[in-house]
Amino acid sequence: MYSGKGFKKYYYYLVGVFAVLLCAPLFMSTYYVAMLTSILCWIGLSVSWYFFSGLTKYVSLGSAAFFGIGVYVTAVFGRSLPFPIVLLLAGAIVFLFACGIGLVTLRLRGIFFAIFTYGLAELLNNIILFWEMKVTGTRGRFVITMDVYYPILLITFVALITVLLLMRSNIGLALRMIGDCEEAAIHFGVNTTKYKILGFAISSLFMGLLGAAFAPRWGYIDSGIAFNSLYSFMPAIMTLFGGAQMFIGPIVGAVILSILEEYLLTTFKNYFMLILGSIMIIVILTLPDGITGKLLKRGVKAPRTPP
Amino acid sequence: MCRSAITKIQATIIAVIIVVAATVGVVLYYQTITAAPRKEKIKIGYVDAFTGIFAPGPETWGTVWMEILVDEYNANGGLYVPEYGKKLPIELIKYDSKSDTETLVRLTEKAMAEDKVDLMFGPWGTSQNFAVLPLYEKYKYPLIAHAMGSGQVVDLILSGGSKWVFPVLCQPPFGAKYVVDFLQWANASRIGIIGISDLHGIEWTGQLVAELARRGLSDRVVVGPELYPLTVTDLSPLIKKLKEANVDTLWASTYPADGTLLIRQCMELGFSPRIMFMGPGSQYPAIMVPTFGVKAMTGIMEYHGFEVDYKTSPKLLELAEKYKARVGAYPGPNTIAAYVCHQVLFKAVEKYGLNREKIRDAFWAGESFDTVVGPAKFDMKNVYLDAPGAGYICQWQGEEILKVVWPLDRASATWIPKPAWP
Amino acid sequence: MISLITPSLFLDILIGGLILGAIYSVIAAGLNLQYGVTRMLNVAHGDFLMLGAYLTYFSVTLLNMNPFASIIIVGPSMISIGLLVYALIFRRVVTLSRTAGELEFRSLLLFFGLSFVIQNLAMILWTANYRGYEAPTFGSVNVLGVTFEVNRIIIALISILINIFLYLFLRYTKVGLAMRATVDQPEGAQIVGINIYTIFAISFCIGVLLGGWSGILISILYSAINPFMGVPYTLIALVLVVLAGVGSFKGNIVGGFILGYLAYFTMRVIHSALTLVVIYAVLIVILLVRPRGLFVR
Repeated sequence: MYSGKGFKKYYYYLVGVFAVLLCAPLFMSTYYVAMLTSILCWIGLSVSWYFFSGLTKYVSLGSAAFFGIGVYVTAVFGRSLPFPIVLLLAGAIVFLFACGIGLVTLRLRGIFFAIFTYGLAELLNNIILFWEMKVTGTRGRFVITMDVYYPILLITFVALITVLLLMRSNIGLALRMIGDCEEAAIHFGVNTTKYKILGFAISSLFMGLLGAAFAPRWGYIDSGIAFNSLYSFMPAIMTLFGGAQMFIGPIVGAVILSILEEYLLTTFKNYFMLILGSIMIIVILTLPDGITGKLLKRGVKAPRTPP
Repeated sequence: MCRSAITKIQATIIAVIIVVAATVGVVLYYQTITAAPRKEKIKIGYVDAFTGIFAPGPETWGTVWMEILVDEYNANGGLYVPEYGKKLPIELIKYDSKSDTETLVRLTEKAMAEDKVDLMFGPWGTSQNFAVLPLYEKYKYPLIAHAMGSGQVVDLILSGGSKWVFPVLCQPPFGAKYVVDFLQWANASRIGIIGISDLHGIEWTGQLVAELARRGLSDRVVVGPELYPLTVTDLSPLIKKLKEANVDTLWASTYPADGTLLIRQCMELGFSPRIMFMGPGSQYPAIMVPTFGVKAMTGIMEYHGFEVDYKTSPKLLELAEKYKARVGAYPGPNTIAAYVCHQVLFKAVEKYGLNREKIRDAFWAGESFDTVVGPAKFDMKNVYLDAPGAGYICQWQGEEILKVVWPLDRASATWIPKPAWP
Repeated sequence: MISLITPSLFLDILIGGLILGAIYSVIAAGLNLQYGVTRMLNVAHGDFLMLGAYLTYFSVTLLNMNPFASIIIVGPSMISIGLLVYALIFRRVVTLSRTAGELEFRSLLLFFGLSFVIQNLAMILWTANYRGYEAPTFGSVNVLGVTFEVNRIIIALISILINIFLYLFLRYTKVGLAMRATVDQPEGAQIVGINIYTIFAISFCIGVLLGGWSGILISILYSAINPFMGVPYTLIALVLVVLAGVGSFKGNIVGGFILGYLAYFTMRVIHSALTLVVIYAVLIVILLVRPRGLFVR
């Protein structure tokens, strides 16, 4: 599915879109650039989430933790270090942290993993708050304000291309095998632990980078803002909504839901959550594999997993 | 198996989505720049958390008051703007940030840069105000911070780092001073300090401790400062600590949820300090009266630095009744800050027009404007909105409308030591 | 920071942790049951708790009921809500999903959507203003030199009673037996003629009922009712499910007490702000040793 001629065309489309987006700020007002930045960030987060959780079916609800670490790194170091270094630092910290979390929790059955990650953001929030209270005595920080459209655009596209490449490689294959039937993968001799941790860490790395790059949009950050649970479940929702069966699912989900959200927030203020929730329910009921789910069924017979 | 067929479909879908999104974006963009100029009304932008975890904040604090103010003006034909020589009706444009800071920032910029509103009403919450501050500076709107409390904003203003933010309430550094003045006056001897472990609690407890230290009174603090998480379900361990230490003065930087828990558990455990301070929420009749009744609340105080006794003037009482008609209970003594500060803004507009720079300068110069609590002016040395009708500490004294007890020259009643729980 | 552990402090922790633990175990019971039987993770559990709290509030303020008695109203209401939600939303997904894993995956999104819908509906109907009611208080008692609020003790006793009822139900009734069978061996259960779909529906409704019931109890203790109050309780329930081991009733109680003791101990002896940190640290240690939770089925 991801090899051969069709794939090359994919790359060309991505490059084309990238070129268009590069010029976007020239003909769009600041608000629309901000909106586009936000959409791109969501695409990046959703695709990263999909790379691990979509393929292995280990639902991670901890995206906010990794995104938040990135945000926080920028908050702390954004004024003292040059921005690229801040990004590198954030990436390194998140990667190591994700490896650590992975070592502990990826031995758990899927749903335990989901629950554990769900509380991770809140846990980090508490730890950092305590640290700030007792050790450093600070109470939130002003972040450098800068235009983040290009960093986010760059990181998102690097994420997209990396995920595409990795999906064709050993890691992608291993992750998909784990998602289809982990026991079989183990029997085949696949080192599932190594691949799970690696996949999880890579996925989290991008989330951390996005967080670090997106942070200047906030202007002011404290640990509560950095670890906002919204970023925990939205990537999952966007991917599942768009369809977790294929790569373009999270992209479709992220684009549709972000635009929808923007429209709802400005038009139906009080009903935003209600409408969003209802749409989510309706889509899953009518299109259980997400919006792009039907596509898979058209050309290829989906392998039936034994119950 | 048609591999390329799938890829084509996938690629087509992506292309279609991008094209549609771009078209929509371009169309909307052109729509806004070719929209007819609206000189027929005044647009005020108001971006805040109307849904999500912060939603109780604006709902219980300022939104109702701002709506009352706007409705009052509109009922009289609108707000007078000198450059048009007439009154223009006010349109309040509300956007929901869904309790997400980035959305707040984005939509605030939309209101300022796209909708080009004439004025802005600021959001609730210290961190939210900080987040949008750079935008207010960039687009030159005065940020009337009616729901913000932070030592950092004081430092920022005093160091000249910001010209556009105008805090309304007494900020923690100044607030701590008047609280300690009171504590000394009331002979507080054994002080316990607790609070919620988020910005508000950290700031206020921190400033209180610092001020006590500055006056050499640190030895009076026998318990704390101890902060507990927002999700606390049991405060009895803390209360027991306080009781064992024979605390006679409790400072509790609480929020509504843990505040009610605290009161209830103190009642059950029989801990009733002579002096008892609590945080936001504890002064709202809407929550406290149905839950505990006015008798049980007697003696409890709150410290937000803009406290008004609605019985001190007929106009104030009328406003309180208006609030009650909308919400079902009397307003807390300090939420009217949201009404007064915007009344100041509107009066400034009536004098200087929609010239925001002139309004800013007037605020910095400490020019006073007539409001329901007397001539109010922004005191930018102590960084708050000063008005003769507004005191600093309020207290429950047996009825739904609280009294102001400090400073003595603005008090509407004498402070009473807290009686035992009924 | 850490004060000396005197005998009275020890007793305080012993009983205080017990009380807190009983409450935690009731909060999580519904979620554990639902997940154990249906394998659907109800991340909207806290919102059903919130509904229970609001219903109690209305029963008390509009019908002048004693909150402890409001189960009469809350019980049937929650069951009806559960049935409605299940019939409208989950039945289709349950019958359409080919594997348990698929069901887990899809239902997650459904529950998130449901959570948004419930929270926003509550906000539209009842506004985000905090609500509270005057709860009956009975002061406190002195047990061997340590004081405890009577209210909490009553609620702990009720929680233990609820757990006992649940236990008896699962052990001795036909339906309960069928549920346990479904938890252990879904296919086996079907072979012996149990209609899984009915069992799913019943478990779901009981889970919702328990959620609402814990809402009653929480609203008695804690009087700031608002549409978003359920969120932290969902987390507690989820953590407890992991700690306890899925579908394990014993685990739910034991895990609840462990959690209760940890929380109480941390607040009393160490520092309240570290409560969640300590809980997670212990959780990590337990999971390292027993990755399926304390009581594995």
